[in-house]
Amino acid sequence: MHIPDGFLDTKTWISFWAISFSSLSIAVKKVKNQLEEKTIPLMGVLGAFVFAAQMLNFPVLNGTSGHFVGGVLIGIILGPYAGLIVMSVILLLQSLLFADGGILTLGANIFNMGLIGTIFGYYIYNFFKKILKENFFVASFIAGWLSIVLGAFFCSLQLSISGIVPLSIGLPSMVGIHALIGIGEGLITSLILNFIFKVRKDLIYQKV
Amino acid sequence: MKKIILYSFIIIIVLVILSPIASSSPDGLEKVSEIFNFSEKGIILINSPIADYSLRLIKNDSLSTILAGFIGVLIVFFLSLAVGYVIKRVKI
Repeated sequence: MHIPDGFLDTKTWISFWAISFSSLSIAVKKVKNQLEEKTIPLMGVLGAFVFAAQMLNFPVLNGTSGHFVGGVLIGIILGPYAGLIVMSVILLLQSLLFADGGILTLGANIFNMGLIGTIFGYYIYNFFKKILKENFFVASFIAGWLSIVLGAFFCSLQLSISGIVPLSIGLPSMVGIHALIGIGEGLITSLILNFIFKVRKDLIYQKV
Repeated sequence: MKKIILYSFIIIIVLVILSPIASSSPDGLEKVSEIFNFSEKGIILINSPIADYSLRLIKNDSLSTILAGFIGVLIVFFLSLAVGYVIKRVKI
């Protein structure tokens, strides 16, 4: 779902840079106060893991592929704010070195894949965990799936504001295909989380 | 924590080695841009030597992808660590 340069017009990419940049500066302040020492090595390890996992596109339908994004996983394990920072590091590097996602569009990509996954994903996960009586497996699946679908929704919104493709066409096709890709996201998120819950539950972020 | 980092890196190395077998089909957004004829609007602003996860110097496609993957993994690892340390330790 990495938006390349050229897909968004100036007003759109500047707006999303502003949103993502201000969210990141809030995240930095929050992390400064609440980040535990033991979380710092995890930031590196999880960042590297998600970067590698994002390279593994899996086939979905009709010659389309999708890949794990990892925002919800990172947001749950590191907490939403440290999570957003690590996702932004990954997306920055992908755009600068790998031409995966544009530079002007990086703000929008941080919004669609970073902010939605880490911040929104974290709260959605906790919301569903509560109403599902601590069933973190289902809660993280829902959060993972929703993060991809919502990211696709915002992506189609950005494309339509930019005059690239009208919402009436872009929205159903983007959300439709990502509703399938999101199943992979949800499954991978809950399987990995399930594993960490079993072996090192103490590593998972606890709200302070 | 050392054990966790070690085990995680084993998993990461396996993932990177597997990366050449990843599907090369267009992803969701690329597919939509092809169907509705706006894929040609995409432009690349920085001419990176490892664009599209392949190291231009290396002729072998799989090896080239794997090496690009390892470069990315190492940079993300150290950059995320550095960002974490700086935010935590440096007074702004």
